[in-house]
Amino acid sequence: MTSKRSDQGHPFVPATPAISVLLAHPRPTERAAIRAVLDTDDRVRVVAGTGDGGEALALARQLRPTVTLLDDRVPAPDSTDLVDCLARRSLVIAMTDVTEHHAIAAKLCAPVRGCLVYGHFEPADLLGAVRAVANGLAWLSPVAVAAVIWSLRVPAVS
Amino acid sequence: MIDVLIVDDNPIVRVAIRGYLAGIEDVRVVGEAPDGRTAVTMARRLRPNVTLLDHRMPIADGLSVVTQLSEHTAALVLTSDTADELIAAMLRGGASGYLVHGEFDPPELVRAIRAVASGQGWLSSRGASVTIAALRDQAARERDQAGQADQLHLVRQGFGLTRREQDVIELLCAGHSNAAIGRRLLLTEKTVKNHLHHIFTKLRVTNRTEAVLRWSGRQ
Repeated sequence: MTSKRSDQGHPFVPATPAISVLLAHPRPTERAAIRAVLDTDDRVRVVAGTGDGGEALALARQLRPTVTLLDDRVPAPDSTDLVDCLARRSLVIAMTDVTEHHAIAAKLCAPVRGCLVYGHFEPADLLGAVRAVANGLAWLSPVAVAAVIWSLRVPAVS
Repeated sequence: MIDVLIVDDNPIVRVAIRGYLAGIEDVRVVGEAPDGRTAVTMARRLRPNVTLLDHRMPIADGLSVVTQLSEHTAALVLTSDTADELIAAMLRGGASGYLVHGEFDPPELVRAIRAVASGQGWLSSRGASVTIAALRDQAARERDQAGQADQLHLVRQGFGLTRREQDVIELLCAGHSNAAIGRRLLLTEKTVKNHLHHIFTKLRVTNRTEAVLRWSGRQ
């Protein structure tokens, strides 16, 4: 299907393409809070939010969001690895409560592009993380940085 | 109060950082060093909470002193170098964080200083990206090694050696003579020879060297 191309351009269209974001978080109030922060950047567009893993997968398939913010309490549908499946369609940033080094290191071995640890990031970091990951880079909260450095120095006993 | 040492061979960079940090209440610049060697001396004397460390410097570069520095202070690398290997080497060497010039703004520098001063870390988005990749490489290597160990275990089980024969072959692999093996296991040399005879048959080899190679999975 072809559409007629407009050369006039819309005055409010930003120069860089928008970063679309899917929010997967079990608590509606926290989803709203995260959304409010992301909405402060014109280039970031929250396209959907859900608290359910199956729905998150369906939304990712349908909407192909650039970035997916995934809280680790979102229940995965039976016999699926939610992070793996989402990562095939979107750049995943893990959001978590865990602060133990080995637990964070394990999370980062899954195909995520970043890790935000609750209580260890500011609203600006949320946007910083989304932008960095959309640019092909990564983002880690300070406690997650400490965890990765720790695991680089102390190889796990296998 | 967070005491900071600035290490950079470029005086303009030192002045700029010092100037910016002067306006931050909980941060105090306690010294400046133009090279790695001076940095180590000053860190030992001043014990700054955080040292901002450049890499390319005369006399001693950042990487060559990061381990020594980290004994006295939390090293936060601040450089224009973005080589993956350098980032990983700095962090393995003891650095608590890595910031790349041009990729962070002054407020991020302050947050990084506070993070490493409190025992956590800070990585610019490029540093985070490189480090996550290094972590996964390392995890993959460890899985490979564990896999090889499992495979060797399976191969060894296939030979069907008795517990005692396994003790004998392990000592043989460690380079002991029949007499020494006998002393260790409280056996006569003749019994050791008998065990070896059975072991050779089970491993389908004819001499000690082949037996060692077969048991260590190299033949």
